[in-house]
Amino acid sequence: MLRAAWRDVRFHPVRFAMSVLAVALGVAFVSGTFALRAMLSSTFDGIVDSTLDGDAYVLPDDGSTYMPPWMSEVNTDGMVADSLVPLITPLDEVAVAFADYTGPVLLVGADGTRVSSGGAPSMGLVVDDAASRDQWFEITGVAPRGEGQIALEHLTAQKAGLGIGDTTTVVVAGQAPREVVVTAIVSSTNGTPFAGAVVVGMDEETARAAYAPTGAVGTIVVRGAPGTSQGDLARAVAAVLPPEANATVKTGDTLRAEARESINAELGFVSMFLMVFAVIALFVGGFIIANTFAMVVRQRLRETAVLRAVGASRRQVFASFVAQAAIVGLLGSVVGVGAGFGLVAIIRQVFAAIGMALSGAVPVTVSGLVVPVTVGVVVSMVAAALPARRASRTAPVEAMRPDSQDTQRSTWLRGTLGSVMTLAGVGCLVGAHRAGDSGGPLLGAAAGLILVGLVVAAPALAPTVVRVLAAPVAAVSKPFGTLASRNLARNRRRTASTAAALMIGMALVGATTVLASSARASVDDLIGTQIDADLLLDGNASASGIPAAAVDALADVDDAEVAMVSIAFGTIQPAGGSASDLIQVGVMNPTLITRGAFVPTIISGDLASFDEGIAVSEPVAKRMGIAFGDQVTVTLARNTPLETTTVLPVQLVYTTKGTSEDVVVAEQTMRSLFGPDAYAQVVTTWQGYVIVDPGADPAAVRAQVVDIVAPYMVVSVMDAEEFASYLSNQVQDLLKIIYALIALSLVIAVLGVINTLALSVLERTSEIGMMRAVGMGRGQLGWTMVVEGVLVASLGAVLGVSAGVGIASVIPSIAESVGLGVLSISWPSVVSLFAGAVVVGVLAALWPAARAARVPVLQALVYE
Amino acid sequence: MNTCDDVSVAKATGLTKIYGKGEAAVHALAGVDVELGRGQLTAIMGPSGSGKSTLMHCLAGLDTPTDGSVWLAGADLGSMSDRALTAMRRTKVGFVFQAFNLVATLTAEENIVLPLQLAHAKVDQGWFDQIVDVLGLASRLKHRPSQLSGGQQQRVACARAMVTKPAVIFGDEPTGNLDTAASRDVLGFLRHSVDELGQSLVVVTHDPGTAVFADRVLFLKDGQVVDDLANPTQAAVLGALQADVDQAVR
Repeated sequence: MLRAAWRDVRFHPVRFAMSVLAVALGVAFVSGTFALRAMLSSTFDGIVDSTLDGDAYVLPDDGSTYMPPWMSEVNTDGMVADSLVPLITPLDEVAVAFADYTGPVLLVGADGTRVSSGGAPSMGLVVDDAASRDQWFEITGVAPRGEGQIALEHLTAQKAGLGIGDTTTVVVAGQAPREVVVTAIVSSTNGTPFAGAVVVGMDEETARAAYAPTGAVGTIVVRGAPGTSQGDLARAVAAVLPPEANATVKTGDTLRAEARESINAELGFVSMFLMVFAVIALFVGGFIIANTFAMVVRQRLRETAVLRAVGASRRQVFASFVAQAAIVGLLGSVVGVGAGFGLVAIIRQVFAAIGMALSGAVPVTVSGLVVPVTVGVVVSMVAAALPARRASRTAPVEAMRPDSQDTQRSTWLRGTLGSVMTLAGVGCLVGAHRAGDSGGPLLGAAAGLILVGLVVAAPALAPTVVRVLAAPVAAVSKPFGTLASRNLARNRRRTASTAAALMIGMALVGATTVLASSARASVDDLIGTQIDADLLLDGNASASGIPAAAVDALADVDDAEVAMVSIAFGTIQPAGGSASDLIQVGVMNPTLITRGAFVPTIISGDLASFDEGIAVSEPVAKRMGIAFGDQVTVTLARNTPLETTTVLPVQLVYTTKGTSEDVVVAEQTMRSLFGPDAYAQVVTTWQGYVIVDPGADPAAVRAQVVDIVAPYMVVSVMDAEEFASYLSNQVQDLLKIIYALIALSLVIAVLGVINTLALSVLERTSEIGMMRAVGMGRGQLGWTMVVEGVLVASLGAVLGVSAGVGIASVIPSIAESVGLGVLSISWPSVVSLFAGAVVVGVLAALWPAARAARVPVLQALVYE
Repeated sequence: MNTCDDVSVAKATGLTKIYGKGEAAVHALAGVDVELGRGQLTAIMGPSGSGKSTLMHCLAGLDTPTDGSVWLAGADLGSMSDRALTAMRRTKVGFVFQAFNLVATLTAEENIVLPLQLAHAKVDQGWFDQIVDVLGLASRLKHRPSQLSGGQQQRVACARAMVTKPAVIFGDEPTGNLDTAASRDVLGFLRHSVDELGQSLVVVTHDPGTAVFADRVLFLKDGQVVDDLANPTQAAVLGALQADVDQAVR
């Protein structure tokens, strides 16, 4: 029987190739996901190993898992004082100890623009020639000395177009821009690329002035004397730390493990996201495989009958099909794994093109090979088992009888079950809508129930939906609309599973479309109702926000009020209550509020009298039992040498659209609590508002502001309209990545449609021959196939888009607190999705149509 | 140049069809000259492999001969493109096959008018009603093929072949899958269409019972016409077949 299975493969190469293709596509997605994930984490592990090569580290004693500073956008971690270094250095076990002066930097390239790190960090660190220091790099040239010199990592230099001896501009932390000369190029000793990171080196004194003006640093790095173990070193260092330093010691190995762990947690989101797509791809691939085998089994039914008639047992017939599936599965999986690596290689090129170099080779791991291949083979065999079981149970005589095509098992059960699930999903959706903020889990349940319900119910729904969709075609193009829609209704299960593959992709696109337009509408709404400034300044282009020096310079703008919105982190504690977790503390100039640039909804208190107290957002007030007039203990810069605690009266309770839970203190209060240096280290300024004085010329004010901030390269100056576009563009960029992934799953679905149509051509050969004999032209035959393709695609689009749009429409109800409170469905986009489905259907039908048209009439007629 | 006159609807000269090449070459037709009468029911008979189906396929424009020429309803098929052949089949020729006659997804009525729709032609309602009435299909029009008996299916196929008022209808074992009563039904209708409506018919069969309905019987053997009977009786047909068998035995 195994030989019979192999023969079948050899004599029906097209059918076989189709099945292999189906498996390969599903597997490619899975293996691509695994490989991409492995590549990302090996890249980041490489950075960890080359930048964290100390034997022991002194860290703030806050019980948290270590996160490399370049991984977190805002440094909410604690700090230690660099004054501890002189206590450590004299120890016998210690070769060298130094504070890690690291922080954000901005580098201007040879073309006069900022060198982009494409999402990776842009960091400054210490590079000097003391042989005993960090040894992660090799240095070419002369190590930088003083404020006027820098070193560049070699990929950074390449990207910037700068070499030794060139002059350029840098903005280090919050300092004013300054001119520097490149004196050295450094490269990592183990060749690890920095994932596109911009790395600028400077001498220790310069780095300290920029990143630790108060002496507070993230870590102190310690290297052991030869022969000292990491554990002994850590214990020796810990012994000399004074208790009031609030510091702890970790060995290098522990720290590296923690760093990897926290990076993986960060990347976990990306992995999750990719895995969701892989599961969808496999789901879709499984459909295609099951479809293919259902057709193969049907076509081989007569042959099976002959085998059974000459004495093959049920078990042998079954085994023959499953063995064939295993061959197909194995071949498809191997091809798929190759294609998956190809996919990742392409993705890496794309990443490299946007300036994010990933680890050199696509990692080939055992799990990256074995898992996708196993999955492919198992899915193929399971998909083949059901139809094979049916085939093995068919009585020989029954199978030999010609043309039993119209028999159709009932879809009643699936229809009922699926409808119940879908309705339950709709119920959850309504529940999620009602539940508001806490509706997330319900929404997830709704999405799952609706999509699975539709997939289950699809065979029962397909004939009716297809008939309705075909009505316009049937009206203008008489026999073809009817022929196509009846053909689809005849094989309702196959039609349904083909459409289901497309449906899932379409649901994702539909949901994403709604999210995109709702995000834009929410931003417009936010700006329309809550921000009334003439100009907005934004520093999101840099990890450190708007530089402090720029903030200072902006105070001198004439004919306008300039106010900044900054953020710090801290805890609050009501009298007699317990302290909160770390929360965001907004730092604002009260004039900003009183002049109407920022308009919160006041629950209690008076805007005009807000000055030296604290304003608390309603959710925080509710949770912590804080009311207007209470005294609240505020702790800022926790776990750092700069930690400050103060008691402030609650002067406002407010609520805003689009702002998370937080509290606000007046900028003046903050500045008086910390000195200027500490203020710059504790607070990050993200936005500023400019309110032009009545009667002044806004254009002139804008020109002044632009002149001041231009040299810093990271501050955008926008009016409300530009700001709205800018915010929604940020969302659009994110959506592009999602769209690219969806596009891949759609490609698989389209191939599924092609596969189904092509195989149904094979299956209908005699019918096609008969129709050609009674006068159907090649064009007409092709047209029938195209109509079929379009109908299947439209079926998928109708179900998918309605589900996706429906589900996503509820998101604004539950996501109002994160700034996505306005529902907007862009009908033109929805219409274009349907148009897209029609195009997809046409494209998918082209090849099968050509194939059908090429079938010689007579051969088709005497087929079998 | 029109080589078909008033009395012939199809004509073949020197018709040769060879399948395969070299050693394996099979001469399905080895130089056949036939002329089929207008308004006649011609039966083509012969044992399996005699080339009778190939002859019909070539005459109907479904197959291209290796050599020789075919005129159908006054046109030379040899010079026609696929498009022209399709149009020809649509308008001038009707087919009734042994199986796979009907589109399973279409109702009887939709099957009948399919060739007209493919040709974007209007249904002549009077003609349609007349055919349906003669075939006794009036109550079956909304049924799908799977809901019809074998005889009813073949009658629907006959109606479909007639509806375009073709110059000639080709039948390939049209009663091959039917029981005696049903085949008598179908043959009676075919005879009726020749006598009353002046339809030209060509039927390939190996059933002598079918042949007696014919005005003329052509006997094929090894790709050649070996006998040609006009107005055959059952005895004559059986005699001709017997002669064949005798020859084979000797």
